[in-house]
Amino acid sequence: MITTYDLTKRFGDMLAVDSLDLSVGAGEIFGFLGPNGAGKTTSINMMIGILTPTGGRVELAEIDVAKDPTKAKSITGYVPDQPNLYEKLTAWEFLMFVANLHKVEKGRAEKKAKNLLEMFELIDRADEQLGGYSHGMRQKVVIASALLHEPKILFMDEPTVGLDPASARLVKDILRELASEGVTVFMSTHILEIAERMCDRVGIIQKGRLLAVGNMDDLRQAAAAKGAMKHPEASTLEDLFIELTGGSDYAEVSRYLEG
Amino acid sequence: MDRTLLILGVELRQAFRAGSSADGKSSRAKRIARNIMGYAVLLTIAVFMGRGAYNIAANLSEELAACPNVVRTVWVNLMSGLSLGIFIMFFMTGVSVVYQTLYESGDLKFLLSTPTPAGSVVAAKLIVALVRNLMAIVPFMYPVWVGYGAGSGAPVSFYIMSLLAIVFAALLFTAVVAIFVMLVMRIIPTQKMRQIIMIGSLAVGFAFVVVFQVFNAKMARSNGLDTAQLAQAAQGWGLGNTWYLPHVWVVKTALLTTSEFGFSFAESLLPLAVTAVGAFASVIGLSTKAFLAGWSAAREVEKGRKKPNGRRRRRALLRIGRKVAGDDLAEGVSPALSDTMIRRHVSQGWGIFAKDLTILMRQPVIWYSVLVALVASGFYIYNMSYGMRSGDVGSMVGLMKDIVLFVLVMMSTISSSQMAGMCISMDGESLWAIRSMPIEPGTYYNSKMALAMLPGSAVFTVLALAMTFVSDLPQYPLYVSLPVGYAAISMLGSIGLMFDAIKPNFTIRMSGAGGPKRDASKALISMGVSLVGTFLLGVAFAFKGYYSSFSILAGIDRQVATCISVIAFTAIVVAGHVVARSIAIGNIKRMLRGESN
Repeated sequence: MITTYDLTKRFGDMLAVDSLDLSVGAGEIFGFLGPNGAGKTTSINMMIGILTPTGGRVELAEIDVAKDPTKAKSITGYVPDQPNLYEKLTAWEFLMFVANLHKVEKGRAEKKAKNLLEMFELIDRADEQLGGYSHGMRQKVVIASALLHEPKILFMDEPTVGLDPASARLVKDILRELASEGVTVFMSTHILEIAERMCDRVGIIQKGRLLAVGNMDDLRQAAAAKGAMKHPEASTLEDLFIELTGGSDYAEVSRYLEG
Repeated sequence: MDRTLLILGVELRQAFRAGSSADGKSSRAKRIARNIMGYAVLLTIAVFMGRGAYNIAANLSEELAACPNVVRTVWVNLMSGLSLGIFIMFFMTGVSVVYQTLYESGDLKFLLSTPTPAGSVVAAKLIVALVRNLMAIVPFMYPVWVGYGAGSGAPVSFYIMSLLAIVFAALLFTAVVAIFVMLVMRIIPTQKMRQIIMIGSLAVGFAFVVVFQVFNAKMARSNGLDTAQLAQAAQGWGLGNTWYLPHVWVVKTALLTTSEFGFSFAESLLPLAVTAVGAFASVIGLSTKAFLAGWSAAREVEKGRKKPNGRRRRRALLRIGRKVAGDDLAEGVSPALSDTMIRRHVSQGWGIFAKDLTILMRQPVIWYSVLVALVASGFYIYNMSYGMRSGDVGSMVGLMKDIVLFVLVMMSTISSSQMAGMCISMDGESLWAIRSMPIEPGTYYNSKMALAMLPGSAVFTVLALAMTFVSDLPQYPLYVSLPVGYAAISMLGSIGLMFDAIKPNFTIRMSGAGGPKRDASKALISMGVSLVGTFLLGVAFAFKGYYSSFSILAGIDRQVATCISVIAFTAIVVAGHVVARSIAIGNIKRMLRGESN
């Protein structure tokens, strides 16, 4: 469903994404992990067609994003890392705006939007302007807008940041249900617990390069191959992440601080 | 004081770095080139205005050399008009600057969370607002004074004093508006009421200033330009009777060191400086009591209807899937949500247009601008109608019709080019929503074009109707003037939109009562091109009225000349649209695909 071929992005002299080759199947939940500035958001932006790659290409459901970005965008939903919204629109107006841009039939869009607003417990405040919403509430509106047109592929950049525990749980439930219906979910996250429990596979990126990709067993093997871990078979994703991204120095400091 | 300077230092650094990117030398070179272009346009306008003022002053001095009292009277009156013009310009642009800088600055949240006293923060922000107001007005006003001084042989000190007078005028205006805004924000309980009171009061203030000017103009007309009467008036000048008006202080301050006028320090610089500095000090004093509470209130948003909160989450949860997708949601279970203009038609172009219109309608500054535009237009129609009668134009009826039409177009274009210049930029930080949607660049352009045309067309319609029913000046019938006006406004709007597509400024905020931050160089280039475009269109359309003045064209038949006028006008409109659309769509395409990152 998502395939990248040698995807590369340079900003001036800085190599943000270096020859990324990835393939994510239909109905799969894929976790994209990496330290700050690793190239996660840049990769997602290229995949959804809002950033032109320096090299390589992206296919979404066999649609070349560079050649037909409009068609590619019509089957994707996107949740950005920052829920910046039109502050003078109400949540209801924003959802109707998004429905218009996706050409969702009027009656269906209204039912779907009401359903989503109810689900996120925003229905009673749907007529308020978004300028008065908290970060978490905006995040919910953005997630609702990404689901409104029933996308085949959902890209989510840190989707649970700012959400209260109940809403974060709700998002997880939604993602599982969508995946069970064949929707592909590609999400970046810093919360390794979410990635470990929810994702079918994860990819770890650092300095623009994909270090490892696969399920937990694959990652353990990759860490074992580096030879630094004593018991890779018992390691958590956090251990593997720190090992693979070279964060062991920080782990030492952390252990020292914890006494 | 130290903290105020520290904040100002950071503001200054940000201003210098504004627009720079991490992309290195090439973008820096582009930025410098764009700035140079902007400054070149600015300089051209300044020279043009200064030169005009110089000519008037030189001619006046030469023709009335025998009557120095008359010359002085005329000067004082003209400078008084200019000074009033400064305050009118402040009213038109400065109010939103003050509000935006004081209540909408992005760093306020951070600054107020530090142990910096509110007074230091407000002082720094007020100085920033002062500088912004000055930068908006000095390039247009000061060259006129300089030209005037040069044409009349004023001493060197005149240039310094006139600049000082403008600075104090700006400080006075900025501080008084800040006091007013702070009090309204502090005292009035609801956001909507605050907006209504603020906008209404400022518009009334503006109307008062303009009406005062109309009264002065009428008095001047009743006196005529009879030399004897002017000389008689010079005995008493009349300015002493209005010693309490700030614009009179400004004139007197500018002329303080010009000996033949004999104004004293006590009636010029002293009241101006004391009032301005006093108002500034009052703002600082008031800030400790009123600013913080008002700033918090400014961030409030009108609440919607409160409904009993049914815990519907779980019931709705299982309906998220694509197959069921809300189909089984019972009608009437959810609270009825308001009908929205955005959803009136299911089309992408309408969606973007209606979204932009909804946002704009909720901008208090837009309503202030509309009120100011109406007052200014009324003033303009009054002056034009009473200043010139149809009988005065004699054989120039045809040309007069064209002049009236294109003056209306020019006035309408000002509001249209302002809107066009921010149509794309207003998507701001929410641009991701547009970029991630399946939108064709052409659709996006068309919807923005409709928005760009809207204010200019509305203003033009009002002006054209008002001129038709109020003035007896020779005019085209509405079935001619309206289509011609709309065509011209649309072309000029498309050029403004093109500039915004070339260099959008996504850092503008369209919230609260704050107006958009304007990109000075882009706004100036856009305005310059609009004025040149209006002139070209006017010259083309008026061809039938002046062609016989050229001996080489005198033999052309009147009907042929009319055809040439219409064809030339249409060709310019079409060519302008084609070029602007092509360039804009190319840039929008790159923007949507992220090529411009």
